[in-house]
Amino acid sequence: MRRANSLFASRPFRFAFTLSAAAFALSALACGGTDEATYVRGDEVPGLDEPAMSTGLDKVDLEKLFDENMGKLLKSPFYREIAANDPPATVAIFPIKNETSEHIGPQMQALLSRMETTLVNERRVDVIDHERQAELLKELKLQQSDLYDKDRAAEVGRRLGVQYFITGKVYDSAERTSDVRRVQYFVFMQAISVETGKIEWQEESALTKGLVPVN
Amino acid sequence: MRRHTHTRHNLRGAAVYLACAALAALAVACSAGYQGRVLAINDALAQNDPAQALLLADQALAQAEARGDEEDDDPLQSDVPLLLLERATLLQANGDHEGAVRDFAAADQTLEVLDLSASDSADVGKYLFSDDATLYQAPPHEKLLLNTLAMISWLCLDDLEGARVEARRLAVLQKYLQDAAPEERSLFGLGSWIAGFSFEMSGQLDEALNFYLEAWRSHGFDAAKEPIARLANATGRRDDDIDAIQQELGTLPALPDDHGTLLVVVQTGRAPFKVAERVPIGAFTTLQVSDSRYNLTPEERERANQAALEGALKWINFPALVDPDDLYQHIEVRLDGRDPGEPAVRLDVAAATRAAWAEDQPRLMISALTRMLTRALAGNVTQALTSSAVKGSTGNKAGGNIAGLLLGLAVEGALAAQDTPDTRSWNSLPSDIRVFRLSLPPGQHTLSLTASQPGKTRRAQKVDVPPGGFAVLNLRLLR
Repeated sequence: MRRANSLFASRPFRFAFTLSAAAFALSALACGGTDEATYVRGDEVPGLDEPAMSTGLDKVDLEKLFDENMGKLLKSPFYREIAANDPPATVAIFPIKNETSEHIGPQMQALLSRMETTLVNERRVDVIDHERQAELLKELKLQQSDLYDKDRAAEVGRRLGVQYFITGKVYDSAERTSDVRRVQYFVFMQAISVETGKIEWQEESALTKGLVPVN
Repeated sequence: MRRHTHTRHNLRGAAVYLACAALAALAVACSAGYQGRVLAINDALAQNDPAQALLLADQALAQAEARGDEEDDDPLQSDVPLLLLERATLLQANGDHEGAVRDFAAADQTLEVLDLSASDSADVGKYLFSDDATLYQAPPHEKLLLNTLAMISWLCLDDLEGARVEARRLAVLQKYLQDAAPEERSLFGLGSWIAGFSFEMSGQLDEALNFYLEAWRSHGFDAAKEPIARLANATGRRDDDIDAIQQELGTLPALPDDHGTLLVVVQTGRAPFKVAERVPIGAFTTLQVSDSRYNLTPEERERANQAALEGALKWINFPALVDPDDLYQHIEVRLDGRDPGEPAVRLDVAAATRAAWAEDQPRLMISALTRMLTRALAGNVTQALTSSAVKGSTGNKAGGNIAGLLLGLAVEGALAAQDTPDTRSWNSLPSDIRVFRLSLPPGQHTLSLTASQPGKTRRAQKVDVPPGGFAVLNLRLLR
């Protein structure tokens, strides 16, 4: 016991022990701690939707694009005119063509679905649902991408019995340096007459997302 | 009395031994780095068991992602982008292209390009020896291949919009690299050619022509000439390069309207990956590079030589590229039993990986040496402190020096070992990619792939080519 005490009490041992303890502490730090992430609901964490987490489009971006485009569509002379039709005009919403460097197809689909929902609930025009479009495309042996071709889209519109289709395109100007990425989005929405092919309404909106160094 | 002194010596020896053992344990604890963490995945790949490798990649990702965002310096957390790349590649090899594009896209959002031209020696040294705790920065060829492989999976999904998005991402990266790393332009060819194909099949001929021209200009792919000539005819575009190509090819035969296009992508083997190796100090001290920010000052060089002469610094733990033992000697592709001819484009990924490493290695080695010299100073300080401590307790100067030297070297050794070099690299990247473009009568065709290693691996797959349309087949042989 005395020998053991003298071993632990000796200065070289204390120094070595301190060094070893520091080394193991360093090791624990270097190899990672034990904190873990947890799943949450949006209303549990105020502001969870606010931070941009990528250069893609998120809920905040979609709300901005929706407000800008839908608000202007509902206030446009074109909409006021077709909303006054009796019987109501028939409208289909076709996909937005993604010409960007970001995989935002699903987000654009969500934007169109919100626009469709608003038009349905406005009850001023008749809206043809997406499922009928998909069936018809299959029947005509066309792909969804064919809807971007104005002539084919008009053919699909006629077969669906619609008078107008709302569609659009989104472009970007994307650039990067060694530590900065910037994507400038430009969204163009259109309402096109199936009968004449004429663009009856068009709106443009823009937003920028980026990745920049914090310091 | 003599016995007592002997006991004290034993105690001191035990204490020093314990300290050295503790520091050695520390060295081992964290020295495995990324390679240690993906060892099991690599073993599964080496045994040609992609399903098991995928399962292990799933587990590794789940473990890494569970760490949360708070631990910025957590090596496991920083593995996530690279593990996503590994899993994406394995999913693609297994034909799960939906899973592959999801993981490629997620990895692409977080992966930055390693740009040594924008960093000085200290920054690079910190990055190189941060125990993999900083976010992985991919060398340019890996980042270019990320977009290229993702494009292949989008094409396999018959999703031209997704392929075009990936092509545009590639173009943004290429534009950046043209300025930051112009020597990498020769790697643009494969991705540009596939991007050209994606736009051509989409009917966006101007964009397709731009990408084919980039493939031809950056890599000189002869197979880009025919689509360039055809698309130039279709779009009416003219420039000196186009005129020269059209003059060379003459009038091209019309393609049968009812034929479809088959794109076959053959990916084989695995590219070299990094492991940690002890490299003798002499390999570092004589290096000079053109970028003066990296070179040692005369004082640093003298200190390095002195440390090497005294035997205080014998080696540095440094990454080395190693070839997996699964390189194929011969690959044979047959379509409906016949030779489809030469691939339209081909990229020797293994050679590109070696070239990228050879380009960066001298600067990284000097950064490593500079950092090691700084660390060696910490070792000397420890030696001085320990000498003083032991001498004070024993009154024995010689014993103090020995203990101090041992502890100093132990600290230096432990720091050198704990200074784990960054062995992160894309381990499941193929070593070779060949792309065949074939105009075929519509209907079912059979593609077979035989790889000699020298043992033979054979794989056959049927594919339906639609009239006037296209089909894409991706085949990956790990070994």
